[in-house]
Amino acid sequence: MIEVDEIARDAVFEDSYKLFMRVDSYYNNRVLRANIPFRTGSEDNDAFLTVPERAEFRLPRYDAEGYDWSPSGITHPLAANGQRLRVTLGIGVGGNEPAWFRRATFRIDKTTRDGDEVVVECVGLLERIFKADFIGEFQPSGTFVSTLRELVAAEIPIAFDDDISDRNVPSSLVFGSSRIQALYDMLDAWPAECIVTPTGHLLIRPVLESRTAVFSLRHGLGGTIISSTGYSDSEDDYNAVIVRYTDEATGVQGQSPSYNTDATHPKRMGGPNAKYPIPLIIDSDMVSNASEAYAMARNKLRQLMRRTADSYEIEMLPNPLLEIGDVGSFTLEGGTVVRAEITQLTIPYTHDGGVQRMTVRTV
Amino acid sequence: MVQPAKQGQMRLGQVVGTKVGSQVKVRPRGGEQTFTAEVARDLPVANNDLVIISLIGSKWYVIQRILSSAPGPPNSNSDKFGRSPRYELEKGDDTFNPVDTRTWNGSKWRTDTTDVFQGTYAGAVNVGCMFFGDQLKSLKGNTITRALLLSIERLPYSGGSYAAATSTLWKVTQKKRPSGAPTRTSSTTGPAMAVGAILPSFEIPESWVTDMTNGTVGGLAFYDADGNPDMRFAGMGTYSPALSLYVEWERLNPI
Repeated sequence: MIEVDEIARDAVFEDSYKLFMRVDSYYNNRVLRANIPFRTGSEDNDAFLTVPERAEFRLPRYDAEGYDWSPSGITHPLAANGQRLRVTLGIGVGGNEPAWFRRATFRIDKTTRDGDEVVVECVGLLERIFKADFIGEFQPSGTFVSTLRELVAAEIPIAFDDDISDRNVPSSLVFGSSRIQALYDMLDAWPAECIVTPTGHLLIRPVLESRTAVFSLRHGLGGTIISSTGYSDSEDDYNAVIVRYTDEATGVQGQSPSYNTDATHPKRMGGPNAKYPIPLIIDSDMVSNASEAYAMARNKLRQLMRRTADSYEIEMLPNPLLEIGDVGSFTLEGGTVVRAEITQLTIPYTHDGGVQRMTVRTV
Repeated sequence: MVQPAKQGQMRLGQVVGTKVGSQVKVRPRGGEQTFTAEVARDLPVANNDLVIISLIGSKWYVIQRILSSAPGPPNSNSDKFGRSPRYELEKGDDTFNPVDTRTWNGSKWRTDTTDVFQGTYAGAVNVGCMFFGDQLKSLKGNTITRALLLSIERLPYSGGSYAAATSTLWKVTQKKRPSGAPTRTSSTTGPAMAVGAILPSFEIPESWVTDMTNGTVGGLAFYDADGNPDMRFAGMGTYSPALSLYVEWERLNPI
């Protein structure tokens, strides 16, 4: 969750507030145009997509000063030549100066005309990594930190959480064609996860074992949840992860399994959903001993457990402080209280943008 | 262009150098880059030997050598485009927006404005801060070659003079606004500006940004201990890109 002043935070969670949006266009790390007069904007996030973020902004083709916002020329603020949009939002309470905070950074993907309006479609910064496949194979040398830096840092600044410990990558490792697959494979093996921060950085952090709720939202009197609907499926309901490895020093082969035996998890092994293990088997050369392989298996299992947990689709009043991965306490329709993680999120940046939608999964 | 190998696919390659332990460097045919590969046991390999290699998992294995003797080295003009460029010395730049711009007025943080003030307020001395959060961590270990504070605009300050005045810039320890007063450590001469002036960029010491990448410094501040001159600068609420930090950096990749 994005931190702001207590007054602004309380207003967003429990009261009413005014929402302000400022969007600035950057090109080559320099401001092309600040405060672009967008009429509407909204952000779409899905934690399980390779590139989780998308956004759309709209504005009249000509503004009050007669400026033409349809992209003409390489360095037009809305052209898709590497232009990035940085979004700053403000929460206004009473007559005070709004509490400003950085919300997101996007890359412009496509700018088109729709009648009298210009529509700007944006994607998250990982899209550049997604497209930048290797030409030949890539053999890393050095450590996980130095390799990840080499994989992405020229496109996205990459920062590492202090709690993460570095180690050498196995020698003679070779990555195939996909740069983003190399990134995610390394994170799986480390184990670690990545998020793109509001200021447009890739933050690498440990996968947390247990997580406490940092906010609460509710349906009913004084609450901001408009409706909540349960959603359930058994897609990808793996309950075991097996990692196979070769010990780099001795050449000994082995496998480390991790099973979902969490008695509260609906897709656990041996429970009503599945009596037998439903395994995801990973052959990895990035781990080279039993403990590294076990850490990888556990981490991957935890990620899968997040995906297959009970989920709810929620419609609520806009709350621009929420982010993917936040864990909160939700009082749903009917009074059920769940502790759940936000895995999908659509946030309107303006008042006329309608309701906010999100999918949460119990943790 | 060389297509990256698929799992288990056999390729021809050429040995570069000699075997070290169980490994040797090979160059898959058509490529310029060499890879460390595992060699089949008891298989002697010599420099320039043509070998059959296979990608299993994420490693190259040398399966067998072929031909009656090692051919010459590959034609150096055969393929200049077969590898992903890796740069030993990588250079880049980034612009960091402050996550908060606020003024400590001697007793509390001002909530009525995000502009940053230097000078006096009701007898106390202002500390006009910009905080950069954890962003600069992304440059940890890099050599900082240039650092600029961008988009500095001096605004009118009631009671203050309109004439050009010189500000003083400080390093601040906190990465985000603390509940109490910010901790200033050391200072340098800041931009000299008249009211209404907009300075696109102002050079700050590279060592300050290095401190930020190491986490010992989290922000910057305008502050003058004697309360003079009174100056007001546009903060993020007035101009969202205001007081951003532009950094050019270099890094040595282990190749």
